Amino acid sequence: MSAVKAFVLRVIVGVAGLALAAAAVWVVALGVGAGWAQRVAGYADLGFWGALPSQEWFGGALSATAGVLIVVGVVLLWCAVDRRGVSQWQVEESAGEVSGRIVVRLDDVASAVAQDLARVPGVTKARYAAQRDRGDTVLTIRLRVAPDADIDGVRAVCRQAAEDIRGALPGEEIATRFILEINRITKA
Amino acid sequence: MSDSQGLCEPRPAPRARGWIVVLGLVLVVAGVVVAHDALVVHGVMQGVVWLAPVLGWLAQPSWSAGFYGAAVLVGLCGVLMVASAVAPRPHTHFRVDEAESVWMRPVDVARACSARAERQMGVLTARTVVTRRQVVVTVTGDTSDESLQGRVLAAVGPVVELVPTSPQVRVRVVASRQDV
Repeated sequence: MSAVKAFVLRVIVGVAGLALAAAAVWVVALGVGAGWAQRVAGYADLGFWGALPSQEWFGGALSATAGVLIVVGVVLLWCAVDRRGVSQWQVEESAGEVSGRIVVRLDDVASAVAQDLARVPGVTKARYAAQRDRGDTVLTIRLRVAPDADIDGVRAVCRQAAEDIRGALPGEEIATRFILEINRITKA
Repeated sequence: MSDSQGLCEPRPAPRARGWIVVLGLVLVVAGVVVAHDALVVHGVMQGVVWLAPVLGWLAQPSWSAGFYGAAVLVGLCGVLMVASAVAPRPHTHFRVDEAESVWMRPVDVARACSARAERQMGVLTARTVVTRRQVVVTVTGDTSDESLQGRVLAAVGPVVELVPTSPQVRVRVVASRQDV
């Protein structure tokens, strides 16, 4: 999730939370007859709502409200889905007077690295993903590691793999991230 | 890179995301209810307007004990939403390499510790709990073996050293049920 999207979602949730809390306080205060709550109720013109169904434009207002509610709801759900995958990366190349653009499939780079790492003793599985994470492009390699594996050895291989990726994509702003997940201990 | 350590720490989405899903679903359901009423009012569907009792209540609100309970629940939800809106993304992993972005969850450190502890002679089972401040390894084995604690400590030491918060390590040796 990008930093901007996360910020917008936080603002929406914060404002909605404040509105709900304020409404709850107002309702309770109105119930116990607090003066300020009565004054707010006066501004809100509660009688207006009771007369709504008798208005000519009530059907049209309902249709418009339904449309707005469904559209805003779907947009919020769509925003909450984290679509972070990155498939391609463009690399500017120049040789003498000739320059060009190479499109690198990040999934292929990550896949090659993951396949290499899966062959390391103690690593039982390697998965990969090329993602956008808080504004950065990140190659994430998840390694399933046997509980008694040599973790220092696996870390050393990860360091080498990170070097190899940087070598394959020199000068590019692509971060690498290795996540070691230790398998559950199984009793023989 | 974006995080403070410059190594793109793996962190989950903000907690506010869960509330966005709830808000979205509530709005869609409310929209469907209002759409139903619109169809009834326009004569497209037969039935009663579901919102009519709500609007009638709004015009002349009346209170019951249950209503106060509901208001308190809604208010509590609002406070939780505000809290989640300002809460930072949780830290879920330890960085376990100084040079590169290599990460492990506390549970993975615990599994690695338990596996090393179980390899020690005299240990029947091992269980480890890892937090940022301490690592507690509980092994079942021979409680009269005075060197057992030290052996387990030495075995889990290299794994615990990976944790950047330098947690304290405690080894507890408990008797197996057969010995009790």
